[in-house]
Amino acid sequence: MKYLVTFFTLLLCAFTAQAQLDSLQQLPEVIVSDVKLRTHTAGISIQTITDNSIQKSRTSLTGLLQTNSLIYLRENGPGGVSSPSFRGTNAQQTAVVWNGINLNSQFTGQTDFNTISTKNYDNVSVRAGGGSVIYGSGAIGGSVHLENDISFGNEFTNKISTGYGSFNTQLISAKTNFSKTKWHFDAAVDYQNSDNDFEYLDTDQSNENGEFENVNFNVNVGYLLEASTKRTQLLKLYHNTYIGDRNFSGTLTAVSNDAYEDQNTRTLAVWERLGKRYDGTLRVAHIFEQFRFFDNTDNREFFSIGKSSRFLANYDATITIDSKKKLTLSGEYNTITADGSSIEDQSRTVGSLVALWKHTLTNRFSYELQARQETVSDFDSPFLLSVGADYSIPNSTNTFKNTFSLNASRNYRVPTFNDLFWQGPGATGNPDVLPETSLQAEVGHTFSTKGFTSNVRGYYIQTEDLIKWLPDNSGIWSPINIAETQHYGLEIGFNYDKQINEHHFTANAQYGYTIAEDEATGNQLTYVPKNKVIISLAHQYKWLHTFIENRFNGEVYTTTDNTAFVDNYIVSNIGVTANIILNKSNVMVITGRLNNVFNTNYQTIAFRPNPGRNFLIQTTFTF
Amino acid sequence: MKIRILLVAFLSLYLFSCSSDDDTSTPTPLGNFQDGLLITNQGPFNEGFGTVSFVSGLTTVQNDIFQTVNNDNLGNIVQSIGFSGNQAYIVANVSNRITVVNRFTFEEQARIDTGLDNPRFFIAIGNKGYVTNWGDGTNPDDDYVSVIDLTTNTITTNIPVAEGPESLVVSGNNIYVAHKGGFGVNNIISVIDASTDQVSTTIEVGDVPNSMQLDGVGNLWVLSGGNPGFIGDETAGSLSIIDLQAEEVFQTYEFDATEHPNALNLENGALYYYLNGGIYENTASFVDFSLPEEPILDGLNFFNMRIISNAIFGVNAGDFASNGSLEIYNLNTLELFDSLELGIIPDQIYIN
Repeated sequence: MKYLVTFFTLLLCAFTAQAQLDSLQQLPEVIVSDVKLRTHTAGISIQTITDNSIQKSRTSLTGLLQTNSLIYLRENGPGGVSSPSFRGTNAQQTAVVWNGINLNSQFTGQTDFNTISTKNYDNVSVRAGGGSVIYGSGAIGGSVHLENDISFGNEFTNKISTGYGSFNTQLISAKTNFSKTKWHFDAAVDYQNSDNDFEYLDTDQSNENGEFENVNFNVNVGYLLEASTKRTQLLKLYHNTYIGDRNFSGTLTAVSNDAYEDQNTRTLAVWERLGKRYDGTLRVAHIFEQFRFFDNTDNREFFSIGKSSRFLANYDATITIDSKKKLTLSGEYNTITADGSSIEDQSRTVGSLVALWKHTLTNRFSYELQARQETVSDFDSPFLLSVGADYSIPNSTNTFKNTFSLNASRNYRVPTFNDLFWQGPGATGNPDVLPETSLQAEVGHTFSTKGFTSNVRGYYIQTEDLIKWLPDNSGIWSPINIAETQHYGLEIGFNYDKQINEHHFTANAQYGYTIAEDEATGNQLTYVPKNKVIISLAHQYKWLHTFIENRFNGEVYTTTDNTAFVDNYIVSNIGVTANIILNKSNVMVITGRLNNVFNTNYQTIAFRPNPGRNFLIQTTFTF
Repeated sequence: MKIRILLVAFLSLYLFSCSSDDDTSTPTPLGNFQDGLLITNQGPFNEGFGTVSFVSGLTTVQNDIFQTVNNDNLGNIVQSIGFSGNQAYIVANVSNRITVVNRFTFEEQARIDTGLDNPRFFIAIGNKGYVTNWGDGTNPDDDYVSVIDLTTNTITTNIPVAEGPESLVVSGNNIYVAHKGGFGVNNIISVIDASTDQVSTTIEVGDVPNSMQLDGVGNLWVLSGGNPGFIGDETAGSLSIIDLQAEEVFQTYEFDATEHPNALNLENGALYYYLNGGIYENTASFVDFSLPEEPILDGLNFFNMRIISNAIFGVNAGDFASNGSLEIYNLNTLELFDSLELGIIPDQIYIN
C-alpha cells in the first residue's frame, strides 16, 4: 500500500509547481453532485455536516457521525467493522449514497462505516427517514450522503495535512483543487495507519491484533461544454478508490488473528444539460467491491474472497412546467455480477422507473409525490410511494419562521447476493427470500430565526418480512422473511449561533428517543439505545477555535430476550484549532483533540472496549 | 458408573411415581454440582462468553455455575466438556482455551491456553488427554489432535490428522476421532493408538460423521449427517457400524437423499436419533436392524439431544441470540415433563 501513497504524493508535487501562477480568487459557482438531495426534501429533515467538522474529526465516517448525528454506531473498536442503526433499524436499512449512487454492499447489504474516509468529501449529509424511491434499497431508517462539489472559476489551492495520535496513529492527506472558467479538477489522497493497541481500561489486557491502514483516493473533473443564456451543458467525472488492510481485534473473552482487506472503486460520469424548461442528466457508473478475509493474518495464503461489479446507467428528465411545478422522470438500468469463495458467479439485472412531482402551491405550501417501480431479475420488487409536504409560516417582519412538515413513504431493502446465493460452511442462501418492506410516516416542526433553529420530529416505522438468518432442523443457517418490527420515536435538535464582539459561539444539541420492537415478543431490538444525546459547543476568537463534544448513549440490549445489555456511557472530546495565516494565500491550521477526556470505559458492542483518553494532532497547510 | 446409576434413580423418581423408598443410601456429596446434568451453553456468537448450567432433580437449574464459583468466565464459545477422574476439561473454541475444574465443585484448577487452535472436543485415557483442533478455518491441512499430559496440564505432542476432527470416543487403548469436516466436509474416522500417539488407521464412513456410540459388544455406531445442500453435492445421511476388531464398516444404512440426521443415542438397548424436528427410535435387536420409518415425537426444535434412561433431554437454542431452554420429555408417555431456561445456545449434555 505504501507505493500508492508515494505515487500520489508524486502526482501532487507536479501540480504544486504551478501553484503561484493562478492566485486570483473568484467566488466559484458550486455545482452539487446530487441535485435531488437538495430539491426533493418535502417533509424530510436533512442535516449537513460542514467541512469544518469533517476536518477536525477522525477520518472515518464512524467518528464523524458518532459525535454529529443521532445514528448509533456499533463499532468493533476503532478501525473494526462498524455498522449503523438509524431510528432503530438495522445496518442494512441505512443507505450510504456517494454522489447520488447507493453504495451498500451487494454481499452484506450494508456499508462498513469504517471503510469510508470522510476527508475527501465536501459535504456529508444525514437524511432521516425513508428515501427508497430516490435512493433505492436500504434507505429505510435514513441515508448518509457523501458529495463532491464541482466549481468553475479561477482557483488553485493545495492542501497538505499530517497528523499523529495515540496508539501510533498516523494520518497524511493531500488535496489539490484547480479550476478555470471551463475546467474543474480536484484530486485528493488520504492515508492513515494505526497500531490501535490501546489498553482495555480496568483490565490488564490490551487491544491485540487491531492494527489497520487504509488509503483513499478521489479525483473529480468537470468540463463546461456550453454556457449560454439558453442552456448549460457540462460533463463531470467522479472517482473514488478505497483500499484498506486491517486486522480484526479480539474481544475481552477471545483472541483473534483474523485480517481483512477491502478494495472498492467507484467511477461516475455525468452529462448534464440544464435549460429553462428541460433538464436532462445522463449518468453512467461502475461500482466495484472486493473483500478478502484471512483466518490467520500470518498466513495469508488462505483466504476467502468476494467481489462484485456493478454497471449502471440512468437518465433523469426534469420538466419545468411553470415556476411552481416540476416533473422528473428517471429510468435506470443496473447489471450486477458477484463471484467469490461462497458465491458462484451470480448476476442480477435491475430496471427501475421513478417519477417525482414537486408542486409549490403557494408561497407557504409545497408538496411532492414520488413513485418507483423496479423489475429485478431474481425476485419481485414492491411498488414504492412517497408523499411529503411543507407548510411554512413566516411572521410579518420575516424575522422568524415556523415550518410544519409531513412525510409518508413505503420503502424496501432487497435481498443481498449473500441472502440469495450464499453457499458456505454451515449456511446456505435462500433463493425464495423476499425484499423487506417498510411503511413509515413522520411529522416535524422547524422553527428558525437569526442564529437559532430548533427541530422536532416524530416518526413511526413498520417493517415487514425482515430477513433473518436462522438454522434449520439440520443446523444449516439460512435466511427467511420472519420478523416484523415497529419503530417509533422522537428527535429534537437545537442549533444556536451567537456573535458577541469578536467572540463567536455555536451550540448544537440533539436528543433521540427510539423504541424499536420485535412485534412477536414486544422486546426492544438488540443494539438500539432508547436514548442518545449529543451536545457540542464551540467558541471562536480571531484565529483560535475551541470545541467540546459530548455524547450520551443509553444502555443497549445484546440479547433478543433483553436479558443482557451493554451499559450506558458518556464520552466527551475536547479540541483546539489554531488558524495561522501566513500570508494571503497560505494558511496553516493546527488542530489538537483529546478524545474521551474523562477516560470512560465504554463499549458500543459487548466485550469490545473502546480506547480511554487519547489524542490526535493534525496540521494542515493550505497554499 | 455410580453417578449414572444415581441419576437414573432420580429420573425414575421424577418421571414415574412408582418408585420405592428403600434406596436412600446417599454417599457424602463431592460438591454442589453432583448428581445432575452439566449442559454447555456456547454463548453469543461474536462477543461474550459461554457458560455451563447444572440441572438437578429435573426441576431446578443453576446457570453459569463457573462464574458463580470462580467469579470469572470460561471464554468465547464453550464447545464441550471432557472428563477425567474428578476433573472436567471445558473447551472454549474461539478463546483457544481449556479450563480445568473440579467437576463437582467447579472450582478452577488450571488453564491450558497455549498450543490450542480452534479446539473442539476432549477425551482422556489414563493421565493423557486428547483434544481435537481445526486450526485455521480456511486451511484444510493444519488440523491436529493435541495430547495433553494431565499431571502438568501442558501439551506434549500434536498428532496431525485429516480435516475437521470433531468428537472422540475411547475403546480399549484406541481413540476414535470422527472427522465431521471442520469448515469443509469429511467422511472418516481416525484411529489413534494411545500407546504410540499416532494414527494407526482411518476408516471411511458416510459424509459428515456427527455422532458415535459404542454398543458394548465391540462395535462403534457412527451416524453421518451427509453433505448438506450448500456444498452443491448433497448426499444422504447414513448410519455405519464399525467392527472395532476388524477396523472396518460391516453394515451401512442409508437415509433418503435430503435427510440429515444427528444426535445418535444408544440407550436402554435401543437406538435413537434426531431428524427434521423428530425423534426416531428403534427398539429392535441390533442384529436385525433397520432404520425406523416414523418419528416417535415430532415438531421439536432441538439443537442437540440426549436420551438417558426414560427421559429425553433436548436443548432448544431458540433464535440463537437469547437464552435457550432444556426440554425434558418422558420417553414412555412422550409428554413434556419440564422446560428449564438455560444460557445462550445450549449444546452438549453430560451426566455428572
